[in-house]
Amino acid sequence: MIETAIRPTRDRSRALRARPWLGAASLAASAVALGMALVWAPPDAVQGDVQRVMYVHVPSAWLAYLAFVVVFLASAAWLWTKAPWTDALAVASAEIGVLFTGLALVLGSIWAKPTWGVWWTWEPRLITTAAMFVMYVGYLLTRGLSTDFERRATRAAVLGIVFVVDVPIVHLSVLWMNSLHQLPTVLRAGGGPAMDDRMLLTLVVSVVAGTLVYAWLLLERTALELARQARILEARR
Amino acid sequence: MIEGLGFIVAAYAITLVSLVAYAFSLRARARREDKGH
Repeated sequence: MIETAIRPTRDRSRALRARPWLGAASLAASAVALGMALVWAPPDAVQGDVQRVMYVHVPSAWLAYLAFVVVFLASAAWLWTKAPWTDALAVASAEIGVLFTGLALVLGSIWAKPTWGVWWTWEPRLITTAAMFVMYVGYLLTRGLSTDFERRATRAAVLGIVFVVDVPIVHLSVLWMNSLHQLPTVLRAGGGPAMDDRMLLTLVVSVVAGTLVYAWLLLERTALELARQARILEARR
Repeated sequence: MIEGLGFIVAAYAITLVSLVAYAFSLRARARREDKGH
């Protein structure tokens, strides 16, 4: 069953053939976002120009959330269908999610130093994000524990489903606990975005550009995993 | 002089280098996979 499901490899699948176009679109959108973030958007009234770090920090955090929700969906799909492409999608998204979580932590730290006066502080948003980073690094390491394809995918899928619990905890930690971190500015309960229009548009364009980059990397990494799966199954015959 | 320029340059440089390095690592891994390693 696995052999037939795996057959639409990276050269045949319609979605994977979109990679060059998606790559070009993500590069173009990133260039526009970069120009808006560094030149067009006004400096913050309180934080000054350092606030421009937000245009890379916030998309990184958003993409980490998105990546781990995709891991959850792909993991559930693996347990439901046992289709190998769902496992390939899960590992691809987890790897990219770890990259964006790491970036969100480092970029947040770079913003915190001139704003809070420290590189790091033990407050809820930072701790839960660091925990999320460690959890998904663990997810990737766990995949190396078994050489049996199905067993590895099933164990990873269980972790992918359990670990997603941390995503809403990270997002809502600033509301649930006393936090030094800024409260939600765009997705606020009972109100619209509390931002200057140009800042908001720049943030939206940055998030869209980041999402295109994520989608492009996801297809590239999924294609790689499908090729790897096909080679392993070929070697078994 | 822009206040906090060093922090801004560091943030954007780290983002760019990380993403480009990851994209190139994917390409290198795909090439190795094509060779059957």
